[in-house]
Amino acid sequence: MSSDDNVKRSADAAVSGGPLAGGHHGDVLALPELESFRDPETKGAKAHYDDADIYRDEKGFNDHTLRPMFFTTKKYFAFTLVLGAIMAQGFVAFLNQTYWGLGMAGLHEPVYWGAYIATFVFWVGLSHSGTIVSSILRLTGANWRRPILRAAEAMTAFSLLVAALFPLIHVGRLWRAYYMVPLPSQRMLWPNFKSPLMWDFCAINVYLTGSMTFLYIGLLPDLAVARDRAIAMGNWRRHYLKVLALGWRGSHREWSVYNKCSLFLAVIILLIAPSVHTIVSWDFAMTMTPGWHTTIFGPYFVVGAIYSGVSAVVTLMIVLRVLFNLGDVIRKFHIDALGKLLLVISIIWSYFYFCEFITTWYSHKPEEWEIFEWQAHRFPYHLWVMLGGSCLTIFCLSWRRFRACMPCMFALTLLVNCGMYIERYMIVVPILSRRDNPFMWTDYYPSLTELSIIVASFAYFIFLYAIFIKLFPIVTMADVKEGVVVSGDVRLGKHAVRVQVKE
Amino acid sequence: MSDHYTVLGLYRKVETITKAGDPIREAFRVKDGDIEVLTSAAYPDGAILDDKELLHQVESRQFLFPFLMGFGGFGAGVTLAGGTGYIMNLIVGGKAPFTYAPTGVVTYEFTLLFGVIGSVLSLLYYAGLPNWTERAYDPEVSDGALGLLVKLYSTEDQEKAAKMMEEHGAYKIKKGVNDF
Repeated sequence: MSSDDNVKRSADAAVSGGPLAGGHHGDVLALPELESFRDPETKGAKAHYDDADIYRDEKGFNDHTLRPMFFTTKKYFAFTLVLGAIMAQGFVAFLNQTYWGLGMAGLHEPVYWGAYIATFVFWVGLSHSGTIVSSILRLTGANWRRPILRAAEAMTAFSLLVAALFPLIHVGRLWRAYYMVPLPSQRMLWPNFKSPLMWDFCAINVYLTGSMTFLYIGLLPDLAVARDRAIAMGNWRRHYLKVLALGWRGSHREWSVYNKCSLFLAVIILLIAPSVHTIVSWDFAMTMTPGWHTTIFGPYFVVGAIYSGVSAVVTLMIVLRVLFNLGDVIRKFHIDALGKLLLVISIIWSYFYFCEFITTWYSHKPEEWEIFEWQAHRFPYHLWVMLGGSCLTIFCLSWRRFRACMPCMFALTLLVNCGMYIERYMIVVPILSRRDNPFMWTDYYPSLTELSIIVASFAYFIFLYAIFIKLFPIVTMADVKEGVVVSGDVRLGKHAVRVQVKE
Repeated sequence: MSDHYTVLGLYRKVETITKAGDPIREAFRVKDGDIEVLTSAAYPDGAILDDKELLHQVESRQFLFPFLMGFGGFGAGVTLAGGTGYIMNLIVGGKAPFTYAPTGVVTYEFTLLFGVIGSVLSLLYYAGLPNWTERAYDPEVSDGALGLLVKLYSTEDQEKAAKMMEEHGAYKIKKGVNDF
């Protein structure tokens, strides 16, 4: 039995595509109707939601979900070209800063941590929801998780990759970055593990490794599907897909071991993720700086990170729905479920805001209250976006109609992340600019170099994501299929009830 | 000389493949590890083949990988953050060479990192991956076909098994040599 026998199959993947996926809405593959795989007894009866609703037949489902990967439009190339241009200007700004030194950034005494560090914290925060949400939903067996896991996990990996750049950009002397690696040098100088910055370096690298592994292991069965499709189409992707799929065949033994491994990874990631943002918060909290030196910072950062990350997942899901015509895979139901999750997190987040404010206001310690006053006077609009965004989120997400409105959800989640970026900025900059003795007090404005690099980081994130979509399946196909396998309709009186089998 | 022969039968329905597995197993006295089901989704253990016992043995040992690797990570963390402090002490703010908080943080992260590596190793070891050799497989499995794969030790048995599979509803049969 040769592989050639296996691979010579026709590839007919003509299903509808979004503006970046290729194809037009007109050339839809005639897929069998939903009812065709359902029990005829319950046909027409209203069943509960399940991923089975998108699963007309397996081949059609594979074609549809793999389409963003295999078919590319000119718009996609134009889009990535624009991203490339933005990244290029950021790279030029970075080279300029490296050549002339950190003076090109707006940093000066006492504000030695500025927009770079705020952006670093933002990206680390953004990385949080992906794997945390994925782990929690896997462990709790939430059925609605299935199609969205991949996109969320990829977001974690890419935002961490972007975040990891900022400490390197911030230190200026990039060529000395290896000092962080535990290599015994001539001076017998090892990394200083007593510094929270070194803990941060360890934690971020562990999280990056864990997230990448989690993403890859989750991809494994879908890589095999994509491999078979690429071979059948004679597509160039077959070369790397063959290698990365590791020879996966979908044997029962493979599935059984794979599920167990996914479970281990979900538990471990759930232990890593909160520790990472806690350690990031300790970069600040372990100093004696008023406004930073507080016990609340660990959980405060973790909740803020999840809040920011879940919002970004919603934004991303809506973008994927529209651009790649995945509306029947990433459905309004999923956005609604994520919206409810976001509502709960925004309430917890607002509670943290309240706790932070009330303790400072009531104790009225001069050095801490001065910072609050400075924030209110110097950054009033920032504060409005930051606090208003949080209150608005609770109000808006309480309404089912709002959660069902995709443009509204898109706008709100973007606003949340704007607020969260500002929140990171407000933690770093105002506190440093009102630090210690009044004669040191000063103001800080990000320079054009900093702004160029920060804008480029956003383009870099989107670019990584856009490339990922073209190289790997963006929908967690294996999980969706498993959801279909273990669910079915059962008649209960006049109704059909969707049930799910659990071992 | 051929070591073994394989037959891969493709089925469209779970009910059909479930009925085909047991008769073939009994007719050729196929051992637990010599019969497999290829699917595009994870089916509950025992849903198609009664191989729960074999898989239970694997699963009960699989957890040892992350567990033992986690121990290794713990040792690595303590050595790196604490041990190097003793060997090459860098005096910072009057802190002791071995400090609990940094060692604890680094050890925690390393324990989990090694746990992640152990989990992946457990998958690779027990699932027999990576395996890029040509093995009995059909790409239709990706598109929803259910494959019943049997390992046999004579060409006569291979022929008989293929015929049995056809009789039990297989719509496609593939035979191979040394590709289980």
